[in-house]
Amino acid sequence: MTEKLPNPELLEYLASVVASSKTQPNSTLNFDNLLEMVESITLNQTIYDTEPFTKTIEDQLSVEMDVQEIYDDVLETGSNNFPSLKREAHQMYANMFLQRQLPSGFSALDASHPWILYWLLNARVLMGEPVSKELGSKIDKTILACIDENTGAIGGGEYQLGHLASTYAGLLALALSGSTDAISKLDRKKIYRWLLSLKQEDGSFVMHHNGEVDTRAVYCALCIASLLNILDDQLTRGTSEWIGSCQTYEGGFGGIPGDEAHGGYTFCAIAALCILDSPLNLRNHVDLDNLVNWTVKRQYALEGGLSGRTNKLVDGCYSHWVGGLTPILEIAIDHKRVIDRMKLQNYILCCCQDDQFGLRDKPGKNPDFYHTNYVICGLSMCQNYQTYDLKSADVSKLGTAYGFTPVKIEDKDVVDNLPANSLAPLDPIFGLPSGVAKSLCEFFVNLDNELSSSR
Amino acid sequence: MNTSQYNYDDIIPSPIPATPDTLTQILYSDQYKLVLSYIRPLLLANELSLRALHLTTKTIELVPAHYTIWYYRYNIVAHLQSSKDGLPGNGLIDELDWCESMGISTLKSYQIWNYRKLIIQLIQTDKDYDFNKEFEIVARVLDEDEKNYHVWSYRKWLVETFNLYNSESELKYTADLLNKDVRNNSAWNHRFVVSLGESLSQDVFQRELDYVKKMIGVAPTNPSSWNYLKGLYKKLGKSLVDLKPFVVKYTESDNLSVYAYEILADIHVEEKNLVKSAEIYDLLGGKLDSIRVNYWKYKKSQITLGV
Repeated sequence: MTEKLPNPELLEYLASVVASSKTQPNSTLNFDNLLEMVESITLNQTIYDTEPFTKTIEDQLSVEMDVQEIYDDVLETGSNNFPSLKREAHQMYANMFLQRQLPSGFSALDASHPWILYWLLNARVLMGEPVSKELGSKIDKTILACIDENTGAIGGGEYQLGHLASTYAGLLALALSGSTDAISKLDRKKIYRWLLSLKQEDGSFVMHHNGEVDTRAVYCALCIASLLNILDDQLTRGTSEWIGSCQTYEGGFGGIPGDEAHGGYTFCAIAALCILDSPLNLRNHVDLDNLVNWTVKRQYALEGGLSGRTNKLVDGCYSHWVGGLTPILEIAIDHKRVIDRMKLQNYILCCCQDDQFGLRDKPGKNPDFYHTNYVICGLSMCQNYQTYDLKSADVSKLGTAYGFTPVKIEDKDVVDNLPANSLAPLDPIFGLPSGVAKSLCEFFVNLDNELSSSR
Repeated sequence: MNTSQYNYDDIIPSPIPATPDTLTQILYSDQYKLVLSYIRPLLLANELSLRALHLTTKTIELVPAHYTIWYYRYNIVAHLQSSKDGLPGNGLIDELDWCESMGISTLKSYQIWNYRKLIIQLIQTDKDYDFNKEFEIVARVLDEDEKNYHVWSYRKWLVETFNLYNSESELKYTADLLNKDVRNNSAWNHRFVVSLGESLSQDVFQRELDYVKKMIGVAPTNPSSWNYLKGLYKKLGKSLVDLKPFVVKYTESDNLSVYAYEILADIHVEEKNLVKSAEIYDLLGGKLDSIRVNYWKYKKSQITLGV
């Protein structure tokens, strides 16, 4: 029997997204914003004339020129033709690769099957296309086939070693499939023992036995434990301190202590801390002012997009890894608009959509599964604020990561939430549409409550 | 599958039995299929042999991110190394050479540098190995890919492992790279660890302060060097106030840097001159750095609240 996880919020939202995207005019708001953006940029060019012309500047100027050309074209075409989300094309892209076998070039991703599935499904669901029962059963089969019998964890493919990142991605794919059949088959006791075996004395985790330590591994381990309701003191002892030690002098976080501040590792660090403690207490674990400062500096004036490190180029994927810090930090400092959502949305819509289908890093790059998902995640973030309620029933029942509620942004000065671009809201911690992680965790909490009361 | 060195006649190749109705199936090349069908039975039997090692080479060449095979390879190497006969040839040194031969494209992967660390840890008892070679290899890779995250992380690990804090060689290396590109933030970050990672003396502070001030002079709009300057002060818990004359220089019109203004605003706060700080935040949000207008408003609200 396939029982659907109860997630009325998401289903309702998906229905409204699909309905509203069919009919809508274009606004001139984005257009005016873009105009203002392009006109205000005069500083950079003159500075480059007086400072050493190094490779960093050469690369940066080359991107600025590409982006400027696109923005100039958009402005020339007029406000009625401002790019909107090419929803159908991107859905087609995702579905194309979900429906058929992948060409041999994808062998490079042979250790990342759960990731492929998660990226494609998540983008698809955020864009408003729910998972059918038939597709759901295929998702379940695919992920269950990747289980490593020795550890109970999910590997990167069939006959592969259990890996924290594959288990994270696989679990998210199962959550998106929405059926309880497959998740009931996971051996949570075994997975718990495996997680504990990956835990290091300093509070960090290795990705797999003999694998690398970094904040990704910590984030994945905590997401897995939280979603499966197996998070306990033994798993988390020393972990928030270890995460804190990864913050660099710049304010962002490195993969391990001493490494350069980096968008991906910073998101993992902060989201992991929110699984361990409320975002309202973030200041107790990190230098919050320095983190906010580093985060806002990731947004570049001409492009409007976000970079992952100081003096590196914008990349659409950081719309999620850095953009995704925004709602968490907004709650932590109690101040809205940490990054400029409208300008990020301009970059996403004008520069990250491939001419045909799929989303990309920047102009001139090819689209791929990874960027398609994380650019869509970033766009969803642009459209919503999050509120946080520490006293909510979800927090006491499920944990601190579940206290967020998305609020669609109505203020047109912040972002013009056009129906054409509208996406399902994103959960700020788990990288899933809002409500999906909660349903999964709730399923296990209820199961455990039943088990303990029947004992 | 047989080669002049290795015989696989006893292996029953086990092709990938793709589970029906699953998604993300890849149409593997014939070559990859063949290698996988031979390595799988060996992996399942956990055969720790030279012929298995050979197949891990073949697999990793085709799919560098195949972490299960890296894991298997390490187990093979560690086992053979500790066995009676040991590894053939130059043993673990050959293994490091093999890593190097994998080429730049592979070096982007998460696996190879972690693997190299594991081998170095095995080798550490071997007195013959010249660890300076590690720095040469890292330098070669960084020469082509100056900001490669994994490679910098590996170099930092070498600094920790071989206790090279404040070593002439590492300071010179970062200075050389920064002379080439003063905006190489990875080099700045590395320098921070090398200089301040272990302990912090007044001498080191002064040396780094002189250095970073000089480099700010070269490129006043470079965020990397300003971040370094602020990091230096924070690390020492020093008040920013004595930086005032230096910072003010970079708030003049022909030599202007938003980062200087930012520090100046902090200095004004320390001096309890909140009006001046607020003016700077208005200037930053209104004109100099308008993309962050809301952030500068937030900063302003923080000082007026007395936070």
